[in-house]
Order: sequence, then structure tokens, then C-alpha cells
Amino acid sequence: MRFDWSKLGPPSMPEAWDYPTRFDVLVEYDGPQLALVEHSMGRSLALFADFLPDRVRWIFSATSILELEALASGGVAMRGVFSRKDNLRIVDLGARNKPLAVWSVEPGDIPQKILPVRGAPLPAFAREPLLKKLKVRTSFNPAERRIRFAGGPVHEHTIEFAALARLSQWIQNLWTAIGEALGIHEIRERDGMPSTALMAAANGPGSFSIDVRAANEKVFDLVAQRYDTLVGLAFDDLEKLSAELSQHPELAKTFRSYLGVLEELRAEAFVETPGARIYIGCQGVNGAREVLKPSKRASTPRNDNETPETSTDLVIRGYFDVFGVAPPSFKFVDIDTGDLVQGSVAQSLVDRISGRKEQEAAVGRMTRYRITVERGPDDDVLKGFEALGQGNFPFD
Amino acid sequence: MVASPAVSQQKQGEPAPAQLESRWPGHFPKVACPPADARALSDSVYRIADTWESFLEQERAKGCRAASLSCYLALEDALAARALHDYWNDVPVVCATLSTEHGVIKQTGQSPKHHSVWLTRAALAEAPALFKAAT
Repeated sequence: MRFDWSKLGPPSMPEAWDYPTRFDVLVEYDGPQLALVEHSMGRSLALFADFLPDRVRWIFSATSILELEALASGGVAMRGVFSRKDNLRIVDLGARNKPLAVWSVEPGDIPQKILPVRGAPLPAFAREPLLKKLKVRTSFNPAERRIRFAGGPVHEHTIEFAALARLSQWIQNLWTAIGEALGIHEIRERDGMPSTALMAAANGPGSFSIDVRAANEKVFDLVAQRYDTLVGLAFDDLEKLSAELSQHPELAKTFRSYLGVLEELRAEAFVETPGARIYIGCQGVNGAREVLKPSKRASTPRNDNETPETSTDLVIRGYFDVFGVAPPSFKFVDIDTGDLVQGSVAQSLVDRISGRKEQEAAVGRMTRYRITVERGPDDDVLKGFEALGQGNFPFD
Repeated sequence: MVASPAVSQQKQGEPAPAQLESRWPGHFPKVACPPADARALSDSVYRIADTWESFLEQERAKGCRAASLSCYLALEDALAARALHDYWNDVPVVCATLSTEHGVIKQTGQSPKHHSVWLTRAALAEAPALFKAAT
């Protein structure tokens, strides 16, 4: 045993874990080191962690096909597959890979020295075998630009319209915000279209894919480069991310919202350009969202046309979570940021809706509202709400 | 298939099989080890110099393959593999140009670039000096 595992608590029962149905070794050196494993709990990339007298200890990271494709094409580093997750599993395998013990852990719980070197890509010799095992058709022309989505709302080669609308809206918002931060958003194409404008050209089977027609390909690549940096920092250097975006509050807000949408939809995105492959999953983004969170006192209204009732009032668009306004508390999902806003309901509002059932006041996830919230240091107070309509923004 | 080194050596008329066995370290399995389809070494081989003890010596596994040491035949492959663990990053990649007298080699495992080398008793004893830092 090379590492100290004394901090591991008792393992969860491995009964649900059967023998792996596939165990494909991708990198071997003094025994298997990295393997693609299929088992009763799904598909994982497994990293050798330690050797104990009667067992081999592995770190399992649940992965999607898209993430593995990104790994095979350099769109995500090996370490990223393990460190950019909310949780991992430590799995002890005995003779003939029999699961003996399983722990659910956070990436920070495992000895960091076990993880791959920061930024190191999958060895070149393992890439082709991995793609072959995934049975991925690589018909994509590497000179083209493509954005791919997978995860929550993507089913085989379809995607829910609502999710497509939100994902495409937010990646466009982010592209625009990066363009603005780089000072290139004002560049207009001949037809007057912003240079950062993205257009869907076609789709492909597998993970949902949009071939992108960029209004300006050079601008697209420049923005993608910056996007690559932001995604990297979001996982590897939060302090630097915060510092980099402190001069660009609008970009910080938009990037935070984009991460929130990925998280909420449990979606993944893979941006491919001739010069870069950039993968981001829906896990492990909380740290970045936290450092990019605007301070409560510094909050400003989202809608320029709205005048706040006081300097600490916020106007937020979104929907009430599940049960609507249920005094004395409320839960509201900010559709622009993906944040859950919750707190108490102002007495004046309680009095106003007292004759109505809360279900009538604010029902269901399809009705969109604009709410006014007074943000205090300890509590957010709902002061008013106004129904905007049904369905997805933008409709107002 | 490449003839086993033992057979190759016999064809040259020296030394006898019984003597050949003594070329190999005492911890090697006595039967069919190194394997018959391993070929004589005539390569530059690269190792992540984490340890010179085989799995067999570490009692992590049994059998002939466990008596071998992993290696790659290209520096870039060894460096790329070394990046698998941060703790390996402090370990040098070492290289030696080996020939028949040092032992035999065979591609092993699912990873096509991965090879196993069975070093002779003498080569294994000299290994830390035989292999030089490659980076």
C-alpha cells in the first residue's frame, strides 16, 4: 500500500456491484493503470490507485461517451475526468475483478498525487483504441466548427426543444459576453450580423450535435480560445478565474449562468474548432459558480427597464419551485442564472394573496414570473410577483 | 512466431538448456518462463524507474508475466504513460539499449505499445546502472 487511506470511512455495500462486464485496459505499466470499465452501475473510467494485499484499489469516475470522446481528442485532460466531478467511487477489486468494497467520495478526498499530472492528455497510443472501443464514427471534418451537447436532455440523437433553446441561448450569450470582454463584439459582418453570432447548420446522430456556421470564423476561434481558458480555470484555478473576470462582471455573470444551465439540465458541451477541443461536463462546477457569485449588496436589477423599490431590491425572472409561494417561505429558480432563490415572504404580500390558494398565485414550472426580492444579509424577502406567461424565455 | 530465445540459443550450439535456465533470476517460475514467444532483445527500452522489483517479487501476482518488468519502446510513450500519476512525475524515465545477452521481450496486455521485458539474472542485478536517465 503506497497511500494512507485511513480517512476512508466504512465502505458502502458492494452487493449492487456485480463483476464488470467489460474491463478494457487503455494504459498499462506494471499492471493496468487506466481502464474503461462497464459494470452494473454504468460506464466508468478507472484509474489505478493502490495495491493492497488481497485487492487492487481503483478510482472510478462515471463518464459519458461524449466525455470519453473529448478525452480521446484532447478536449479534456486525464485529470479532468477525475477532478471535475462532484463525486467519485473508490472501488476495491479482488481476484478476477470481483468487487469487494465501494466508497462514494469527493475528488478532494483522494490522495491528489494519485491523479494524473495536471493538463496531461490521454497518451497518444491509447486514443485510437479508446475511440474504437466506443465505436465512435469520426466523420467530423476537423477544419469545421462544431458544438455538441450530451447528458440530461439529450436522448440518443434527439434533444428536448426547451433544453436546446436554453443551451443554445446560453452558449450564444457566453460567446457574446466573451466577445464584448475581448472588445470584438462590435465588429459587424457585411449583413450587419454581430461577428460572434452562431447559427445551427445541421445535426448528426449520436450525442446531439450542431455544426456551427460562425458569422466570423476567426472571431469564433478567438472566442473559443478564451472559452477554453475560462473552462480550464473553472476547474483548476478558481482564484485566477475570479481575478480574470473581476474586470468583466458581465462575462462573469454570463459564464456563471452558463455553468448553471449545464448543471441544471445535467448537460455536457463539447466545442470543437480547428485549433481546440473543449469539453465541459455538468459536475464540479459549483466552485466556479460560487466564486463568480456577485455579492448580495452589489447586486443590480437584471432588467434595465425596471426600477427597484429600494437599492437592495432585485428583479428576477424565473419560476417558482414546485409548490409556488407557500408563505412564510418561497423557492424560486432564477432562469437567468440557474440559482435557487429562497427566503421568506413579505407580510404585505402574504396579506395580498391571503384569499387565494398559493397554487393559484404561482403554480407550476411552466408559468414564468418576474419577482421582486429584497436581498438582505441574512434573508431574501419576496415582496411581489407578476406572471409573465407560459413556456420558455424569451417571450417578453 | 519468433522462436524462443532458449531455442535460438540452442541452435547456435551453446549453451545447453540446463545452463540457460540459470541465466534467469531464481524467482522466475521454473517452467516456460520467459515465454517461448518472447523475442531476443535488440531494442532501446524505456522504463519509469519507480521500482526494479517485478510483481512476482512484490507478491502482487503470480506467473511468468508477473516476473517481467513493463517497458515502452519509445520515449514519448513512456513520458505519456508517466503522466498517469502525479507521483510518477518525480520519477525519471530511464533508457537502456539492450541486446540478446540482457534478456527477452514481448508485447503484452491490451495496450499495443506496452511490452514486458524479462531481464537475465546479470542484467537485473545491473539494471539501476544499465539504465540511464532519458530525460
